[in-house]
Amino acid sequence: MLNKKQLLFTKIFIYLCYGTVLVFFLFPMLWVISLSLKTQQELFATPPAIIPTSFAYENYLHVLENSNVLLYLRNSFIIVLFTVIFALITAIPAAYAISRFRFKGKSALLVTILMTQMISAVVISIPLYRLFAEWGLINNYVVLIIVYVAVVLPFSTWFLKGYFDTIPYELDEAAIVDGCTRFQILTRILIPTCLPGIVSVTILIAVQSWSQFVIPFILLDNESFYPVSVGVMNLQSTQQTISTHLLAAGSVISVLPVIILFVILQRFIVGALTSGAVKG
Amino acid sequence: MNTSNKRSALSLTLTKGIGNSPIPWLIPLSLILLFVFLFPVFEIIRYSFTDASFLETDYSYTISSFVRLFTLPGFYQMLIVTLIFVTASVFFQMFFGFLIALLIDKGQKLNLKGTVMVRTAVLTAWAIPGVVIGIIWRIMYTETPSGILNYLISFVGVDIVPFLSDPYMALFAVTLANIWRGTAFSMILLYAGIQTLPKDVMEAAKIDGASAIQRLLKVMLPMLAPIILINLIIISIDTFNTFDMVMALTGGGPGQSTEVIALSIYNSIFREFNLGHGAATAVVLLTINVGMTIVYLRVLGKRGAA
Amino acid sequence: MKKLAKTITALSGSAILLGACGNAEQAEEESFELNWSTTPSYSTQNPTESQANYIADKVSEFEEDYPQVELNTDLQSTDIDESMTRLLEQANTDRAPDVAAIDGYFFPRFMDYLQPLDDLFDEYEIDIDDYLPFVQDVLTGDDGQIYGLYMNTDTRVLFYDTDVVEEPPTTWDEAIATSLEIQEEGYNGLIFPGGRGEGTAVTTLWPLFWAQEGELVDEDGNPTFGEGDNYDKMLNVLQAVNEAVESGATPQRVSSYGGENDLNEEIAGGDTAMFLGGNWQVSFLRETLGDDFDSWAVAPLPQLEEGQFATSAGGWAWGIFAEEEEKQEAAFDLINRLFVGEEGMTEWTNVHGGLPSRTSIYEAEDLEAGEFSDTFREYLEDANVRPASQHYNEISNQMQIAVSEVISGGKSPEEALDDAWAVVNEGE
Repeated sequence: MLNKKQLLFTKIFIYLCYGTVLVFFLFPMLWVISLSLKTQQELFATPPAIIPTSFAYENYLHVLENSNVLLYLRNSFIIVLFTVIFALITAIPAAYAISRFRFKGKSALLVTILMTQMISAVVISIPLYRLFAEWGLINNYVVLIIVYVAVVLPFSTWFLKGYFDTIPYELDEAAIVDGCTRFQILTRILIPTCLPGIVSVTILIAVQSWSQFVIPFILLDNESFYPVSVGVMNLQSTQQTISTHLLAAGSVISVLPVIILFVILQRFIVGALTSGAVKG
Repeated sequence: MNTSNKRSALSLTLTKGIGNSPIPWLIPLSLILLFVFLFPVFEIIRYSFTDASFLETDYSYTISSFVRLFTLPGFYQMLIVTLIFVTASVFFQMFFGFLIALLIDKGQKLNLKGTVMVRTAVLTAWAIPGVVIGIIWRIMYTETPSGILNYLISFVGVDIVPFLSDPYMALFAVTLANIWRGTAFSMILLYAGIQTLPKDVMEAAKIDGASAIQRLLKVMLPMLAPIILINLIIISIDTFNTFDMVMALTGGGPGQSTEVIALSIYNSIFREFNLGHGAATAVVLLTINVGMTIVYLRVLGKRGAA
Repeated sequence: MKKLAKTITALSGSAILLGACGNAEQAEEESFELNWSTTPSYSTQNPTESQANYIADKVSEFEEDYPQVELNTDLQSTDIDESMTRLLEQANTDRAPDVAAIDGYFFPRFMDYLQPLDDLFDEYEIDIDDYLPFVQDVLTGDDGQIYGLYMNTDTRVLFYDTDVVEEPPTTWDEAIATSLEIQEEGYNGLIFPGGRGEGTAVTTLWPLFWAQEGELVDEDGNPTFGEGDNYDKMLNVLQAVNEAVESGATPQRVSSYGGENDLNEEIAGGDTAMFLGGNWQVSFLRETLGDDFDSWAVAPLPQLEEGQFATSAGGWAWGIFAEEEEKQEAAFDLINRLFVGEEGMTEWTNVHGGLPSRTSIYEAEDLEAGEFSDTFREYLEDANVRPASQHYNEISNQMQIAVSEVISGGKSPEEALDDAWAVVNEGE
């Protein structure tokens, strides 16, 4: 009897906590959605109405028509896609080599890779800006993506190396006996076996590149190349014509695709991240 | 037969073909890292010893940037602001991250409805770019009666709170928004850690009659220590290096009360064109970064030894 | 003989032209690119539909008239300091676009890289003396040549609601007194930008400083605002702002408003009766307040002493970097028809608002002048512009920090000014 009572209390307590957590984390987003559906007059009403009465969805139409949010989103998708591809192409072989070869200076290499992970993007972006400016490579997606790749490479390599380490070497041996080359071992055995790990690292790279701010902010100076993470800044500074309700609508549009993606894939993402966190 | 013997035996069978040296496998990685990190770090250190302006190509070598940095008003304030911002953000991100992770773990064990929803709600904050977070919180902090937080606070009889115009409140406001942003990452990492705890140990402690608090402090935390430390270092470094959210939320103001180090570097170079000064500040940040790495390695080393 | 040669050249020239019209391939051979660097609001990306359409129409007209020109638009970032910094860097490294929008207060710093336009001014019959006095100063180089095309301008004033404030305060003390009075009636006090942003400098700080004949920099562009008389004058400014906040006339929250438009939200709430802002806010006020705006009026910015006057003028100019004559000609024509020529400036003012920088445009028949535009024009005659010193941005940034620290209570006016001066001065 007592146990049941205790259980009930525990459940109630947890639900109360859940409620608090939900309010804290969802409220800002919900408030912005509410603002985005208000008219200018409603916006400044005191006391503020929590639920908009006018449901001014035309704010969204206005933002879609008169700002570049969709272009920013498209740019973000392009940058993230190519960053993921090139980061994997670079990190997988490196992680393989570190995991499977024995060579001098391996631990030094690992430490160096780790060091680069710690360096602030502000520190590297400024000299790169000067260099790219001299070479006429500002607003160039190819070099931009190389820098993005560099930023995600260290943790991707470490992470994948950790994952490869968990695959028993016997598997490689068996393949060698069968006459596989190293390249074949990697592509036919390790990559398929490590697919969950690769998926985890892909998600991590994508999230990090998606919200990357400093690098595009400094290395791009043409507005039409901006990804969302920088472009929304323009919404804020053109307030002359765009005021809070439109800014709110712009913010909602700019995060909606990813939030939907997160909600759909959330089970998968958590699974991937937890398995990754443990192995890495 | 241990693995290393096996490996050396095998490496004999693999002496042919270009794939058999680690070098080609590592070339792309090394090239990218050299180009994107080594060169800029060298350059920024070089600039820090010049009086370079962002707009001119001529400069001469001097240590005046550092002298200036360490003697001028504002530098120590900036360090203190950064330190408070980082310490408070990191502490509360981990604290709340851990609590939420525990709640979710417990909720899952009890098959409570809504667990997934809570987890997703926290996670979404992680997917929002910093600038948008800054914009959202700036709207919420509005210091007129139409500002939502001020409106809600007015129910407890408090007059308008100067979230963004009082130096101390502004720092608090920025830190709170950053906690909101970063809790998800700690939560996921610690949640993962909790999943890996051996069930039998926890059960044994329960049977021994340890209370929930005792189990948490004496059994769970020690076992989670390595992952907590890793989490601590990763988010500390991330927080030191960030400024997008702060830029959109307060722009560093009022005064310099929320000007964290990364924002200060940006302002020196892009607002005041003072490349030498900005580079010197960047070198300070770089030193902090390297210091943190050394701590990280120590921790990792200990973890490996244990 | 010479004449004959000329005629032949002219004939062959026109033959080529004729050929070019009929022959697309040949036209392509002579075609060239024109890189046009503009801000989003001076491009087809302008968020207001009518303005975007205006620009799109003019640009397609231009493209019809210049089939040989391939117009490339580079959009600058909306962060002005940042985009100007980058443009300067581009000019410095020989990567400048052919023609670019340049914020007026940055303009003189670009002169070394810009092409003189005197001949084109003659050709298009624009008289430099038609420009407002301050604009002439901005556009004319040390060598007396003209280096740019100014488009619209702006200025800062006191806005007040005559239903609440009958007589506009002329001095700062009066403004404080009035503000305290109207607060008793339930209105907000005097507000102005007081945070970190250029709006704070041009609207709040500099006019008060300039009216006392303070000098931010000396003739060589070196900072002087913190030494000698200028120190006292700047201190007066900070003390005045401090008094406004200490007395409760101005709310502390202005220390988070870095730009004039940051005030909009509060004004839209309807309880504001008096603020310092920019002329362009008229259209926002009209839109948000509707008929309530009928009772509003504008007055010169309140000053420390009776009889003083100063305000800031801003606005953008266009500079041509291209060395090729054909590019210069095309670029000039483009800017002229869009924003500067009689028709262009009139029409642009009609769709965009703002104030013409050419005095003749105020008389133009087709001009649909905005509210108060004659008053604004009057103030503009004596307006000041920010100094073209390379130290200006640092001075501005440090003084923005200083004033927002004073308002937020972090530092006393003396401390804040001393610190700002220390930072700027030791940057030498």
